[in-house]
Amino acid sequence: MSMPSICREQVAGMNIHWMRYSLDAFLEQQERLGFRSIELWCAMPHVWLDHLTCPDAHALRKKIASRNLTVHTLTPENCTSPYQFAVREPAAIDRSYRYFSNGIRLAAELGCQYMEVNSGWGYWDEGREEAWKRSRDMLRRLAEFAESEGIVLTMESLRPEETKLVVTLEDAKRMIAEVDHPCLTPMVDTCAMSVSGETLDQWFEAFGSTIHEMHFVDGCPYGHLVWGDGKHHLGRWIQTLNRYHFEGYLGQEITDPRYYDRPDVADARNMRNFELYMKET
Amino acid sequence: MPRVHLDQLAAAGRHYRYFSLDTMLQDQALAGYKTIELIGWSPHLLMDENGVLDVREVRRKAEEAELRIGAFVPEAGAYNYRLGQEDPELSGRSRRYFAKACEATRQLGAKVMLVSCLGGTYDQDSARVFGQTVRDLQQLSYAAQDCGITLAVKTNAWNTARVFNTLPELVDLLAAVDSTRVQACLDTIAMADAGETPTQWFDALGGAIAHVQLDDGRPEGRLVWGDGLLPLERYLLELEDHGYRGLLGLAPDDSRYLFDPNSADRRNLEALRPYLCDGEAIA
Repeated sequence: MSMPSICREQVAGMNIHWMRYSLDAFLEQQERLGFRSIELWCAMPHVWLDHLTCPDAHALRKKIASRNLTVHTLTPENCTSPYQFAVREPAAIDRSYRYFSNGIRLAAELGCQYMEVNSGWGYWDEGREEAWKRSRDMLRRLAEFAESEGIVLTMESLRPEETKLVVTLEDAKRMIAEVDHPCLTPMVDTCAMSVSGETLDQWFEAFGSTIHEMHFVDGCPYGHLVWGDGKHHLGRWIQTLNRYHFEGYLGQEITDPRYYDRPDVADARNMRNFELYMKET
Repeated sequence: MPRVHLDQLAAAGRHYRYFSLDTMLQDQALAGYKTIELIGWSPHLLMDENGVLDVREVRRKAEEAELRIGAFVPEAGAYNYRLGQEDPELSGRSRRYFAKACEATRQLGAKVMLVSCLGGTYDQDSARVFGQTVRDLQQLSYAAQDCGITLAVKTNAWNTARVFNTLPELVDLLAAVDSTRVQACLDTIAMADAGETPTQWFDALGGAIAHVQLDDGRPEGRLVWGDGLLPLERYLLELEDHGYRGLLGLAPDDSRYLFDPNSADRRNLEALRPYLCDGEAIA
């Protein structure tokens, strides 16, 4: 069996744990540390995206390119912002649709291929199916708009503390099938996957080559951690990726507050661990 | 033993983020609260720089549940709007948002609006962040004046932001703003995080403490009393010794409370029960 390996371009640095620093600081360090790809998290202080406006994509694109980086995936903040995919009130639905479609526009203008989504959560004091239907309808509307902009939506599962909608692989299979649009594809979040007791093999057996990108992080299984700080084996997981010929992006969605003070140190450790398995360094 | 009144205890609702406003109000009333600290965030209230939706309806629902809205908290941490932002356009949008929040505070019948100054990053010049925050708060003080409300500015815990973390920083900020409409909020989490005490706060600020957020912590986190390690009785004694009669916001915010937020609120009330004045009844 060949050694597990990935390409440098697959490892996409992300800026959530850089929230105490400017976007410029994040981009500068990603270049210095050897990243070539990023997944851009859209929230302040880095990117002001909301239902009212889109940021200046030209300036943003130029800033990213000046650091020899390519942004493949856009992630509008969708877990703590005022917007979610299964909102109930008409005004909230309107605002959320406008926000996420602004995200799709921005993704297209930045030259991304993907925008990350989830199922949202609705209310926990209503029937699950009511929230499910609203989530499905919103995701279908957004997938149709994404198609017109040349963007593919990638839907991750969430943890039970975040939603009662798409939590497990079976939930993801059901939602993908019900939305039934080529521009809504499944995405693995290794934290949510592990919390549900699932494996990469199971996700690949279910979805195969329709998985284009992941949030590929260490964990216990909770936590979105730098590789080495959790309990998973990076090499064995990369071996699984190789087995299924996965050549997509591995978004480094590092979110633990322990990294907020020195995100550069965290990213350096993370990259050093990935470099153990790179085809070239 | 220190004494507080039941109507000083103001239940907040971050742990109700997955429940409707109706459920939150009903639960908090049934638990025995008379006062709430309303957070201006989805799904309970939709707001942006153009205004706040359905404020009158929200007030009507609270009053129907026999709850008084004692304080309003426009969401700052999870939203884009921040005081102290460097970019002039974004700074202007943020000021408009908080000005709309002042008006919402008035319409909700509250007298206090809680404010967190989070703008700025570690790699920004701290003097510029300070200066911009002062300008923003001065502008906001005019809106507060027009609306007849008081802004209560909190310090930030270390894991929230790296500006305005300590009492001396807040004292400098309030002195620079120099408005009777802009006062302090004593947040036990940020205070304990900075190694400070209520007595130090009152010695420094006197009567300019408009609100207290009274949460347990380790000292990090925002927990139900008993789940952390902070000295509740000592804090209450110091507040009483310094004549504080304002609201005591109880704002647990931890994932352990998300599945059963009502239980968290009830436990908080039970923890405070020994200190309630005689004759106060809890349902």
